[in-house]
Order: sequence, then structure tokens, then C-alpha cells
Amino acid sequence: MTRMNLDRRGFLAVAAGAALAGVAQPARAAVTDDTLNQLAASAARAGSILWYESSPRDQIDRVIAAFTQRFPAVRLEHVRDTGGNAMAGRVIQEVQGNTRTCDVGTNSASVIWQLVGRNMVERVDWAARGADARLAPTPFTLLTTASTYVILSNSRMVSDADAPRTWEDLANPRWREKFGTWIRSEGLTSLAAVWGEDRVARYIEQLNAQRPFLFKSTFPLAQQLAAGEVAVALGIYHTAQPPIRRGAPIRVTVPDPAAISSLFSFLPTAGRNKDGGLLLALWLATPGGAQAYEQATGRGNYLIEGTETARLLAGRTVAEFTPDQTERMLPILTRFNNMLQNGGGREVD
Amino acid sequence: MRTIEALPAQSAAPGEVKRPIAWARWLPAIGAGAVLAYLVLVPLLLMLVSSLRPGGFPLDPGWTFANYATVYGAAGFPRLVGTTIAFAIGSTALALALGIALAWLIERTDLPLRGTIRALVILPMATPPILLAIGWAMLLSPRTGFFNLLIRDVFGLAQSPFNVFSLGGMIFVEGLSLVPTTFLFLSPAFRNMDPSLEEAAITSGAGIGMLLRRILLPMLWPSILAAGAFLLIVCLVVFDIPGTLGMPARIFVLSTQIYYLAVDSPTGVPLYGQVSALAAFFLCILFVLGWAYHRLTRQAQRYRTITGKGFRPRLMRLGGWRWVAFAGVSAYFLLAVVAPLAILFWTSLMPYQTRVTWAALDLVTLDNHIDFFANRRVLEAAGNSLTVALVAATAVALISVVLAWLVVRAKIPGARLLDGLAFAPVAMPGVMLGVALVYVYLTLDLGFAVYGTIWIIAIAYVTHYVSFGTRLANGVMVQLHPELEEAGAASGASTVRVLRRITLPLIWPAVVAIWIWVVAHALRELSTALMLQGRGNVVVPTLLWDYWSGGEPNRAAAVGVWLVVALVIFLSLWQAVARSRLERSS
Amino acid sequence: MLTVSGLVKRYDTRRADAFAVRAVSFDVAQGEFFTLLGPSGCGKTTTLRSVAGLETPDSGEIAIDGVSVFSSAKGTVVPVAKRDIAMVFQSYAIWPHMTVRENVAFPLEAMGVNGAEAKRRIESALSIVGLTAFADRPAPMLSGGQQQRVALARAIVKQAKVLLLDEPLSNLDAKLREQMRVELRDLQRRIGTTAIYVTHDQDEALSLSDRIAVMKDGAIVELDTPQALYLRPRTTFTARFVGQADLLPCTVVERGADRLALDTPLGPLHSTVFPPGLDGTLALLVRPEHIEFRDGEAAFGRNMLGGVVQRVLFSGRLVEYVVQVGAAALRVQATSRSLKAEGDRVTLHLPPERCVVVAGDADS
Ligand SMILES: Nc1ncnc2c1ncn2[C@@H]1O[C@H](COP(=O)(O)OP(=O)(O)O)[C@@H](O)[C@H]1O
Ligand SMILES: [Mg+2]
Repeated sequence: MTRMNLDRRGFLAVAAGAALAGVAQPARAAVTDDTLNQLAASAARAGSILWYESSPRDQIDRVIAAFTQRFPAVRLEHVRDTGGNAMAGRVIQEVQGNTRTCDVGTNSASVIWQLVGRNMVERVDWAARGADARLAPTPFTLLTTASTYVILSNSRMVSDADAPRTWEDLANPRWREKFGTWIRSEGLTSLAAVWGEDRVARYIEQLNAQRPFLFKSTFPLAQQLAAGEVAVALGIYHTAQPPIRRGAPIRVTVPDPAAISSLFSFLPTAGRNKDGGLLLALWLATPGGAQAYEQATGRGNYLIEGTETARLLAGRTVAEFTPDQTERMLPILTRFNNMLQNGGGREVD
Repeated sequence: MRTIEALPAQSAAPGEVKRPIAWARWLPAIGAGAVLAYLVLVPLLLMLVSSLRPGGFPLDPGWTFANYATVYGAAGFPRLVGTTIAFAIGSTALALALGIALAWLIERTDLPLRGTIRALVILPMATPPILLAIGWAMLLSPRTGFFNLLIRDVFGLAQSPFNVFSLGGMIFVEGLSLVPTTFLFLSPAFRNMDPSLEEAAITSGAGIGMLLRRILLPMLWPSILAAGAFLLIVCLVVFDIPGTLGMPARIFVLSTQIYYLAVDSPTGVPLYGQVSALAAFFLCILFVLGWAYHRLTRQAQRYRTITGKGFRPRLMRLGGWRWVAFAGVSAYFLLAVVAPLAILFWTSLMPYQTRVTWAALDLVTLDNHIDFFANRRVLEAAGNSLTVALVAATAVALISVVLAWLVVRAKIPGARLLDGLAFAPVAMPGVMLGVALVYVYLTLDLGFAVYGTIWIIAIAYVTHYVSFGTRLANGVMVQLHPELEEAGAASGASTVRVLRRITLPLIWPAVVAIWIWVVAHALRELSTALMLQGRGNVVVPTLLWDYWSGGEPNRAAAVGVWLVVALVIFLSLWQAVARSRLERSS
Repeated sequence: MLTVSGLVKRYDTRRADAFAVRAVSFDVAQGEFFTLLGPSGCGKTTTLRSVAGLETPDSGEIAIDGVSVFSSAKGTVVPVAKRDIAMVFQSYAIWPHMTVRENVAFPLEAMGVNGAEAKRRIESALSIVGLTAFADRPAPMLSGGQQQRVALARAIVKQAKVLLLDEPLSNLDAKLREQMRVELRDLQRRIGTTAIYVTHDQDEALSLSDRIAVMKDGAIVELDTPQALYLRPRTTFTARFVGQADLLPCTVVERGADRLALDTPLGPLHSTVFPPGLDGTLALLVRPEHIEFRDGEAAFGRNMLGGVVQRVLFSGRLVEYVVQVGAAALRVQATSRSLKAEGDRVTLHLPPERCVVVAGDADS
């Protein structure tokens, strides 16, 4: 199951092989309106577009509204992915059961890589469609959005002067038993793309010495920070937005390097409306689509000019493994997960 | 209705007695078996297959035992099992102790306000467990917990007295959350008991403790055992409470492991093979429990408390204890019902998670409730939820009664196998049931779509909840003296008429309990609905999940509040109907 | 009216000897009151339930009014509801969720009888058992005797050919039991139905029945009228089970055409009642009430014995004595007209026509 039978021929030329560690800068090449309009015409003939994506329905309703405004003839339908690995399971079952699956899906590289390993993902010449090479690190994936790991603090409990701003600040013993984080180590694993595995491992040991509260999702982490259960946290930018929007006392800082987890769009080979899937993926990578998506979901594409995420990460080193490094990344992720779950945290009282 | 089943007498060897009667006895078994095989066996087999697939998906190629080796050979496995069993036994014991006490006080004594308490005690059942868990975290977390701060300030303690993020905390919350289920399990059994059994004990000089220990518990043994076995398995599989309260403190149980494997494993694909291999462990425990249940309740006639004579519904007078008992029940009620529901309500009025303080009152807003009702899917979701809940509840009640009758009363051949099958689904992790159903309805062409509709959700609920329904129905059916039904047959009534006019009315409290339980659970159940969601089958819990997973627990709490309201409406309607029936008949 | 032949039933088929009923056969005539009598566990209920159709026997034949309702050979099983029977259960089986009237109405409802006809039959059944005033009471709110009557009314309302009763009186107190016994007998006569009655109480069996089948270990050991069973039992089992019995081991010394000379622990005795075959162990039965005091007579002559009163048990109407005769002790019952005291020397007469020789061991 963990062994992947990847078909690599297509993307080795594109992928740099090294960690994605450039300073965030908007992409140059752009998808033209012509391309989109042509795709829209044939997509409309093929029926609706079915999109699997994990944002709440009411958020995606707004994305669909923007899409429909831009392409009135094309109908876009969304089925909510419940997160984690659910989408891979769903697509595999639907393909095996010979029923309709999505035309386009948006998910993390590791999920897509499982489907690639089962030959279930369409290979696309993204460059020919006008997408910048940095948006499409492999022929199977087009960058749609990214979660950005951020340092959060409760602004009522922690003064501006004391607020942690850097990775090192979080390891300060003053936050012992006042620090919370996600039970999964995606962000820290991304950080390893810049820092290297060993340095991050040592860093996690420092964090473990804080006896952190572990949350099964970063949403309740932000909520509990707002409620004062923890004073500082390593969280995710967009998952802290709902309480912040409601006036919760949460302070957000993006550390440098900025660890991110990217979500890519992919086209299942079993998709019925191929052009429709392609249309949505490409549109989401245009400034119009990217902004609509970011405004609705709170997370955006840092490579597209004009997004909030691009501003947030401006000037910072972006840390993340590329999709084709998934195999290298997985053992690190597993190791870090185990370190977080088993190491030195709060004990059973 | 058959008349004379005369079969052509074939030339049998002299002296040989032919038994053409035998095959007819198998008919009901075959019928019930077919229904159960369809509902339960197919998913179970798919799960077994999945556990033996290298890829973990039942339709993947290849066979392997690697999943078992990986899961059971893991270094931490024994410790995981230890924690899980401690958690399960602790929670079950707590739920049973409280459930038994409540059921007895409410059903058998002159406790003040019994009717009201009976209706309200089960309210927390409609609250999705994730909300219940965060509610309890808000009440008992060491830093911000309402009770903790209250007690700390009142008694001037240096430290918080309770920490909900601990094994004890998990047991406490899980145990309390299962009390309504336990109560529903046991209250029909208590209600049906011939009061002269209690009176005989009291006139023999037994105190209340002795009465419980020596008479009530042994008499109600089958129901209590059935409840205990069911709760134990539920505690093994349940995820929300141990996930929410255990994870922050790094207390892991098997269900958190399953969640990790199915949803969160770093590989990018659900490790269904390993999940199924782990589920095999639950199934083994389940079958051991089922076997023990049968052994311990073999002498069914000992437990017949509904007989055809001297059955006068009378309540025991508690005398001076009445108000002590009332105080106890009220304390429980405040702690286990009012407090979490109040926190739920509080949360639904807050813009974001806040501790309960006077200052926070400034933040009160109705936005979350307004937002819920302004959601354009709310009507569709409410309609779907109601349909699913009503259909599933009715189907479960029906199937459970018929199965219990076949197993306990008709004793058809293969009865124990059927019973085991009906019990098994509770040990199936929801995701695996979902996976199996997806395959079934993707490959099975019924001529109409089931996959992606509300019907696949309804079928999942029926499958899952039939285990509760049959446990409860079995326990009550055992109490029923068979002569009551035989007298019906001897009066010339067909089996169907006997079931309808005699069996069903006599076990009616159990039928109602099953129905209410399934309605409440179907209204609140999240994970299955999510797993099976498509474009057109949004239900209220999926809306709740939308809010929850979108980082809006306060909006989710508002939905939770309305789920509780829905259950209240159901209960009141029920009470009204029951009362009018009672008035008409007297 | 009812024919049962070769009935066999085993609950536990794994154990070869675990018969609940083995080869039971009997015929019951129209209008007869037929009783199955025997100690608990001897298979009475199983037999009755097989007739009702509540149990399926392993083999045998059952016919009601000439119609086969069960035949293992032909593979016929008529379901309970289609048999022309009505049944009264030991536990009464009154449905607690119904009123008295609803309970009684149920068989008619099941048969599809309704309207005026049903009303008439219900009222009549209720009045026969004397429950008209209680018709609308919830069934559980009745005394034991009243519940018993409900069960009875529910059975007779059906007007079935055969009425089956399984220890219907055993849950009542002694006084009520005797009263109900009389009522039951009257009722059966009045409605002229055929009744099969199961009991372990010999008084009940004797006073109610036209004929009694005595059962033991799943088989009928004797089948006869109450008088015959009481006065001329053939086995020690029946002798002891039906009525009080003093059994003494005996051997035949001399055999005449109509009388036997016996050797017993009491000395030589004569009997005029004995079974046709005289093989195996024999015992002499003398019932306490058949022994006469012969005041003033010497203990000479046929079946005359001298003894000493050992114990006196005075119970009003009757007095029971234990009289020591040689090495043996005899129970003697007499009226309270003339009383004896402990230590009195008495002369006893054992009428030869009441000295019954039965098969079996006196001490077993
Ligand atoms: N349902 C049953 N299962 C197993 N054995 C039974 C069952 N019913 C009766 N028996 C056994 O069959 C024998 C005859 O029982 P029964 O007919 O009830 O006796 P009776 O009515 O004469 O007391 C007894 O030994 C009893 O234990
Ligand atoms: Mg009996």
C-alpha cells in the first residue's frame, strides 16, 4: 500500500528534484481568455462539471457563483470532500465501481500521488495551455491553493511585545503547557524542505518539551486559542480566520521560512467532462479564479498576482516538498507524526 | 396462513418416519437470513476481503496477510488495546450504573416528576458527540473549564480539581453520553416487570440495596447483559469523545488509530486494509460477548417477568427516600443533561469559542441561528434528515421485533447465527460500512440510483442500528411468557395476528425505545452521512459538519441546538399520542 | 372425538434416552372429561401441547373429530390456529394490555366472528363464568380466581370441539380450587364439550374426570375410570399416586379362581382383586379408609388382625391412626364417631375385596 508505482517519465524533466525553496514571487506565464473560452464551449456540451474539493459548501457556492458569472453556459457542481484521505478512497471506489467520478479534484500531492500510482490521473501538458511551470510542477498537478502555517497567539493573554514571531520563539520555555498544535506534522515536514530533516527533528524535540496540546484539526486549535485554553499555537492561516472574523482575540504571524501545504487540481482519467475539468483547474489558476477562490475559502494561491496569500508570503522563503518528492517526504512525515504523538507531550493525569 | 400441509407421501421404506415437516421450519430462517445477509453479511464479507488486500480496497488485486501483521505487530499495539479496554470497560460500567439507577427510579418508583424526567433524560442523545465533547471540554478543561474555575474559586484551591483531558475524563464523558442509550435499553425491561417480584423481596425484609442486587439485577440480567455487551462494543468503536478529549493528552485508543488509518494516514490514501484488520479484533470481542450472553441467559424461562397473571402495574413507594432519590436524580440531571446542553446553547450564542463569563455575555449574538436558517440547503437537509430518520427508525424497529421474535420465541434453526449477524454491525467502523455500501450500490443495479441518494444513508443506518434494536427487542422478548402468545394461537389467531395484537402491544415500550433511539441517532449521525454523501443527499448533520469543519463550531452548535429541539418535538408528539391513546382506552 | 396414537417427543435429540413423551396413545370420546394425571415432568403438558399444535411431536398421529391434525407418516401438521381446540394455560396467559372483554373477544376476532353474534357469545361466556360485571376491567386488575375465569371464558367462547386445560387450578388457593373444580365440571357438562385436563393433583383428577390416564416418565401407565383406578389400580405407581396407600410386599401362597391367599408382613391375608398376570414382584395395597375397626371381636378369622394404636391424628371429620401389627405399621382412617386412644389394643378387618394386589415393589 505504501509502495507506489509511479509513472515518472513525464515530470522528471519538469520537477527540479530539489525542494521548492524559492522566495515567493508571482508566476509569469498566464492562461489566456481564448484558451478558457474554447474549453468552456466544449465543456458546456459535455454536461456539468463535477468537482471534488474539501471546502464547506457555502464557501464553494461563492466560487461557483463567480465561475458561472464568467462561464454562464457551463454548470459546475461541487461534492464536498471530507478531508484527509477520503477523496482518494472515493475516487478509487468510483473508478472500480464504474460509476461517474469527478471531472476535477483538488487535493494534496500525497493524495493525488496515490491516484497517479493507480493510473487514475490524466497527464496534461499544462505549459501548452499557458500555465507557468511553477504552477504545474508535474503533468498531473496544477497548483490551486496552499495552506500557510502561521504562529498564533491570544492577544488578550500575550502582549504584543511577548508575542512569538519566529519558529525559535515558539520553542521558548515560557510557553510550556501553553502551546498547542495540530497532531499532524505537515507544516513541520514542509519546513524540512528548507531546514533539512535533522534540524526540524531537533526542533520538534524542543516543541515536545513544551508539553503541547495536540488537536486533531487546526480549526478547534484556533477556537481553543481564542477561548484561552492555549496561549500560543502553530496553526494554519485560513483556519484561524473564522474566529478572527468574529472578533476573537487572535494574533497571526507568518514565520520565515514560511511552511506551506499546497493543494493541486488534478483530472481523473475516468472523468466524463475532461474539458470541463481542465477549464476549472485553469480558471482557478487565473487571477480572477484564484481571487474568487481565496475570498471564499480564506486560502489562496501564492503564485498568482493579487491574492492575499501572495501578499502574506511576499519576501519570505517558501518551504515545501514538490509533488514528485512525495516518496521522500512520506517517511519524514511519518517520523514527525510519531515524534509529535509519542514524544514528551502531556501525560495522562 | 397455511391450512393443512399435506405433502405427497412418497413410497417410504416401512418403519422409516419421513420428516417433510422440517424444511418448512427453515423458511423463516431463510427469509430473515436473506434480509440480514443483504444488510449485514455483504458488508462484513467485503470488510474481510478488504483486510486481505494489499491495496486495502476490496476490488484491488492480490491477497495478503500483511495488514494483520502490520496492525497487530505494531510496537504500541498491546498498550493501545490496554487503554482501549480500560476506556471501554470504565465507560460501560459508568453508563450501566447510572442507567440502571435511573431506569429503576423512573419506571418503578414514585419518584416526583417521573414523566418529565423520563422525557428529558434522553435529550443529550440528539447532540452530535463532537459537540458534546467540546461542551464537556468547556466545562471541565483544567484551564478554562467552567466547573473547574467555579470549584477552584469557591474552595480557594490552587489547582483545578478536574482534568477532562485524561483517561478518567474520557470515561466520564463517554459514560455520561451513553446513559440515555442505557436508559432506553433498560426502561422497557423495568417497566415490564411484575411488581409482585419486588414486593415479595421487600416483604421478605430486603432493603433497597439488596432488592437491586438480589432481585432486580438477576431478574433483568438478559437486558442488562445485552446493554452491557452493546455499550462495550460502542465504546471500542466510538471516536469523537476519545478523539477530542484523548488526543490533546496523547491518549490513544483503537478508534483513534482507525481514524488515523482511514482519514489521516500520511500515505494519501485510506488504509482500509489495516482498518479492516483492526475491525476484526472488534468482531472477535463482539462474538465472545455474544457467546457469553447466550451462555449466561440460556435458561430463558427464569427471566419471564411478563406473565399472564397478577400483573398489576404498581409503583414502589420510596417513602422518606423519595426526596433523597429526587435530589440524586436532579444532581445527575443538572450535571449530565442541563450542563452540556446549556454549554451547547451558550456556544451557539457566541461568535467564537469563549469561556463562560459575565463579560462574555456582551458577545451574545443570534447570528449562528440566523445563519443556519438562512442556509439555502436547510429545508432540503431537514426534509432529508426527517425522511432518513423516520424510515430508518421504522425499518429498524420492524426488523428488530421480527428478528427478536424469530430468535427468542420461534427458535428457528440457525437462530443464534442470525442473532450474531444482527449484532455484528456495531463492531464495524462506520468507514468500512460506508466503503462496503458504496461497492454494493455501485455494482448492484436496482434500476434506480441508490448511491449518492438519501437511501444509501438510510440503508447504512438501518444496518448499523439493527444491532441496537435487536439487543433491546431480545431482552424484552425474553421477558414475555410464551403462553401469552400461545394462547393467541390457541384462540385461532394466525401468527401475524398474534404478533400484531399480542406480541407487539406487550413489547410496545421497547418498540418505542428503539424508534426514538434510532430517530435521535439518525438525526445526529455524522460520519456515515459524510462518507456516503453525494450531490443530492445533504442532511442536517452534513450542514453541521460544514460549519464545524469550516472552523465554525459556534454555528455547528446552533445546528446542534436545533437537533435537540427536533428531538424534543418528536418526544412531545409521542407523549401526546400516547396520552390520547391512553385516554381513549380508559 | 380425539385420537392420539404413538406420540413421541424428544426435546433433546442429542441424548438417546431423553424422551419427554414416548409412545403415548389414547382415545377420548365426544363429551368426555379426560384427564392426564402424573407427577411433574412426566410429559403431560407436552402431550397436551402436542394436541394443541404448540409442539410438533417427533412421530405419532393425532386426529380431532376424525380429521388428522398431525401425522408424522403423512407429514401433516395443521397449525394451532386451524385446529378446533381451545386452551386454558397454567399461567392463565391473560393479555395484560386488554380488558376482560377484549381478552374474551379475541378468539372471535381471530375467527372473523363479529357483530351481534360475537356480542352474544361474549356475553354468554362472561355470564357462564360469572364475570359480566367485570367485563370492562383491565385484565390484570383481577384476583387470581377471576383471572382464571377470564381464561376459561376465553376458551369456551370459541366453542371448540376440544377444550384443553393445563393445570388451570394449580395457582388458586385450596378453597377456591375446590369451588372452581365443581364449577368446571358443571360447565363442561353444560356445554357438552370434550375436555382434556392436565393435573398432578389426584383429588382434582378423581372428582372431575370420566377417565384418567396416569402418566409416568413420558408414558401412560394406566388408563381407566376414577373408580377403577382408585379401587383396582394395577401398579404400585398408580396405587401410590392416586389416593393414600399402604403398600406391603406380598407373595402368592395359593391361587384360587376368584381369590388369592397371600403371605404378607402382617401375616396371611386374602385378596379378591388382582391382576390377570401374576409375574414379578407384587405388593398388597390397602387404603387406610378401607380398614375397619372390629371392636370387641377377637383377632381371628380371615383378614382379621390384632394391633396396638401407636399414634392418633385428629383432624375433625376424620381420625387417622397408626396401628402396630406385629412388625408392620398400618395407617387406618375412621370417622370421629368412636375414638381410640394411643396404646389401645384394637382388632382390624381388611376386607378381601379391598385388598388389591398390584404389580411392583412395595418399597420403591
Ligand atoms: N421446552 C423444553 N425443552 C426441553 N425440555 C423440555 C421442554 N419442555 C419440557 N421439557 C422436558 O420434558 C419433560 C416433560 O415435560 P412436561 O411435559 O412439561 O411435563 P409435565 O407437564 O408433566 O410436568 C420434562 O422432563 C421436561 O423437563
Ligand atoms: Mg406441566
